[in-house]
Amino acid sequence: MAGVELFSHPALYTRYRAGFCSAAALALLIITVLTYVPPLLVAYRSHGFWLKQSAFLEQPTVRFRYEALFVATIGSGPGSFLAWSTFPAFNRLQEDRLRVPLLSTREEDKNHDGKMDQLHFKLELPLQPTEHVVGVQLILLFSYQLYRMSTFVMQSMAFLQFFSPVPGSQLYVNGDLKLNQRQLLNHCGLDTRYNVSVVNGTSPFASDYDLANIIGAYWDRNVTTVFSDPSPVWMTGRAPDMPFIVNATIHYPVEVILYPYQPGFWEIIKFAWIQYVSILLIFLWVFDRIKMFLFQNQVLTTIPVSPVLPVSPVLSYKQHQS
Amino acid sequence: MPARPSNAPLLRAAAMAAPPGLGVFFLILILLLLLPLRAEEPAAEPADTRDAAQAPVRSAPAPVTDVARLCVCDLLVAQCDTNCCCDPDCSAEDFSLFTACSVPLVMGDSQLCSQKAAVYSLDVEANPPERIFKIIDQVNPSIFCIHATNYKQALYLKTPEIPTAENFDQLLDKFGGATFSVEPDSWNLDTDAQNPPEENETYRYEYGVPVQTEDAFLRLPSPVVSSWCSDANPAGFLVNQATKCIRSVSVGKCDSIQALSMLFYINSSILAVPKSSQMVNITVQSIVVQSLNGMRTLLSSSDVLRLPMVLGELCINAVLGVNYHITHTDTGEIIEAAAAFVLGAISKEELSIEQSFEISFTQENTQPVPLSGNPGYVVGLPVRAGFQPQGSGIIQSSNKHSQLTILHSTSTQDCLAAQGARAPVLFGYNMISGCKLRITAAMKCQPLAQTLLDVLKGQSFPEYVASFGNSQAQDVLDWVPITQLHISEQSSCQIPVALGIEVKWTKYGSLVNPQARIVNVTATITTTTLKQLPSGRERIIPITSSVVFTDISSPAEPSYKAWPTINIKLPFDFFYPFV
Repeated sequence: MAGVELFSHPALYTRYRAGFCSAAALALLIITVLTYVPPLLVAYRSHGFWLKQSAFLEQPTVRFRYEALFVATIGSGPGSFLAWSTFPAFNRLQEDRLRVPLLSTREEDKNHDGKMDQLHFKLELPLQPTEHVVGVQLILLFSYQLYRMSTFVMQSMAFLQFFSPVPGSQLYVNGDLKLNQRQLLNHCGLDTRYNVSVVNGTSPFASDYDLANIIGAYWDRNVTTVFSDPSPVWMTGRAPDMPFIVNATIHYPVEVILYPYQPGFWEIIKFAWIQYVSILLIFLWVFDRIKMFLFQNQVLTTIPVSPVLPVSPVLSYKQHQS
Repeated sequence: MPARPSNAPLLRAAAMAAPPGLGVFFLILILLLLLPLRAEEPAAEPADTRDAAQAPVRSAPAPVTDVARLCVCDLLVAQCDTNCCCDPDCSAEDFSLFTACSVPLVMGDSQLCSQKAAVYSLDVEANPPERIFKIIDQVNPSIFCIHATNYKQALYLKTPEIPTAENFDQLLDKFGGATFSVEPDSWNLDTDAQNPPEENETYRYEYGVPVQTEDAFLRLPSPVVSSWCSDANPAGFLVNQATKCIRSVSVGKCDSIQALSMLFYINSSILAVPKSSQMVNITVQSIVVQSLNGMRTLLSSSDVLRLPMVLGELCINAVLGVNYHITHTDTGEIIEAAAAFVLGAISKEELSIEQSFEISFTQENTQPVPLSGNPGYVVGLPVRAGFQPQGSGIIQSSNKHSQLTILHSTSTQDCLAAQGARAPVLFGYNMISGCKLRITAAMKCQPLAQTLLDVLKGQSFPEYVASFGNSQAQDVLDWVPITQLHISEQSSCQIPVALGIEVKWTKYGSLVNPQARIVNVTATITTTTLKQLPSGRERIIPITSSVVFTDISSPAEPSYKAWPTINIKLPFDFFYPFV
């Protein structure tokens, strides 16, 4: 009899043959399609089939750029603020409001892994006996780098602002420099979009040092850092000859950063494959059973061909199972 | 006895402080290092004391590894350190005064399976309290502990490279980073003195380069980090800008405050090109005197310098505004500089005044006409409006910010006093403003209605609005008439209380680059009945004026020449990584 072998029983070795254009061949084709395509649809419809974002942990390489901009608002009396920065052009613009402080900083690598973990920053602003500080604005600039997936390099900022109704002698802040992302990072390559200075320190124009302009341009970026300190400590009471002190500890999060990124092609394929195959296995098993039932019970008209040497005990035993 | 040398911290004496999470990682690292390297090297004892002999290059003292001799809290030579139980200078009497041991445990690497550890404690039960010193075998219960280390260098910090004349730059590149900069201001003019201009080189101003004067820069006082003026801000060439900032003043010393004097703004001559010796003097173009209540009068003669002076309770002729106008050639040379001043009086109560400064650059022999868009309106630019006398084109006000305006609220909030302050209608910005009208019994209906109409509509309310940002005055068809509507009740006396301007605009042209076009403008005046009040009573009613921009263009939708056939598609991202 002509025809092709459509199915063979896995245990009994019985072969079922039928013509190419028979109903059995058509049914087998439909079953095959139903086996392999629906898992794909199930995996896709249950969401998350293609991995579009992912997250990983990394401690960034953060270094203080030794660039700072400091404004202290002096209470009582007009025209009263003192300013200083590491930018000479800014200092020139301040004229007689320039007050050079004593600055001491230290970056500390606590676990000796080669990445800095925190910055100790202390600024002592000498004051006249009649001057009282009621507010502080401080910009510290950092270079911020991530290496694990794509190499991401940017210059970022910690902005610290505190105003108090009572004059103070010291401001103590202690917080984290946190990454703020509006956009996924790339999974590979070099990203230097934001490797530009936050403050244009070479410009002689006042508009480039306007705090609103600096903050505005900075927050136009899709990836930024924020200094988060929920509890700044403002200490009041100052002797006439005492300086005003800003004491800041900025952690480069020792607890690592979580951030999403754009996964690469093979990573996407890998996760899709895992999902597809795990659903496919169930379908294969179910449709195998269906096929076995259909052929064994001759629901589809086929010609069964028994093997030449059936081993009878096994045969009878196996037949019970199916 | 002298304390241990400074290399003592090299030993992991304070191993209790090491983060425990690093342990497994460390072990794996050590294993990785061991496997390819030293298979045949004999295993060393864990707590070996004769160590660091292999360190080939340095003559630095070998790190102390004997836990019994190491004492990191021993900081005073030949004196007992308080609460330092391992200090050899301390006697039994000293120990009896301690309350706790600051370093209770001294041990080597905590990842070793078994090692010697020195344990210090105080027996407070005994009288007097005495120190207990034990050397124990510390056992690490972890299954990943190090049984034997045959590569001891892995447990110690690497010997650093010693900088020499050859590798110094390379080491600086590798380890060096940002530092505090002590470089001087690059815009400081002192640097120019060191580099005298070469004779054959031609200089010219470029965009953004500070305009130089004989001693420094042309000053355009500007606020930096606060509202207070900084005089050191230079004006950039071809950068048209306007700044406003405040200065502290006192009437008594007003003739000695430089920034209030006209001379301060014109006394330095501008260099025609940078580093040249050709000067351009700043001429006084016009002087406007502003009175205390805001009235402005233009002085007929502008060639007189008017310096601030104290006049009783007032300080007159103080500079309130400077408007520089610079004319330049197309080769970047300044040929003319003029300043228009606004002088005003300062009363005794004022501690600070606001000054406004403006600078504009014009190329010689040109007369630029500002547009509000080309062709369609640009969001944020003023709406252009004008009148059409019989049989001619549109006539516009020369100031493009005063063509279509609404009432600007003032600090007094009094409608009858607030005539004159107007805010320009900017395309795309919906605005509202208002004032308060205090009605008394003495007010007459007709004059009041006329005054309020003036307050709402301004001095000259236009008849036409340009439909495009670049509509020409002679093309009358390009201008949209303003439809005026009156909503009123039937009564004898009606006063206007609100003016609503509704601008309907559409997007015009291609989808990619739509242009805004005004198609209809309606000005609606709402009136209300003025009820006669009994004498002695008064009533306050709010007067409001608003502008609304409505986009009446239909949204951009895909359209087809032929109706599309049914198109069964997989979701767009079905083959996401492949497309």
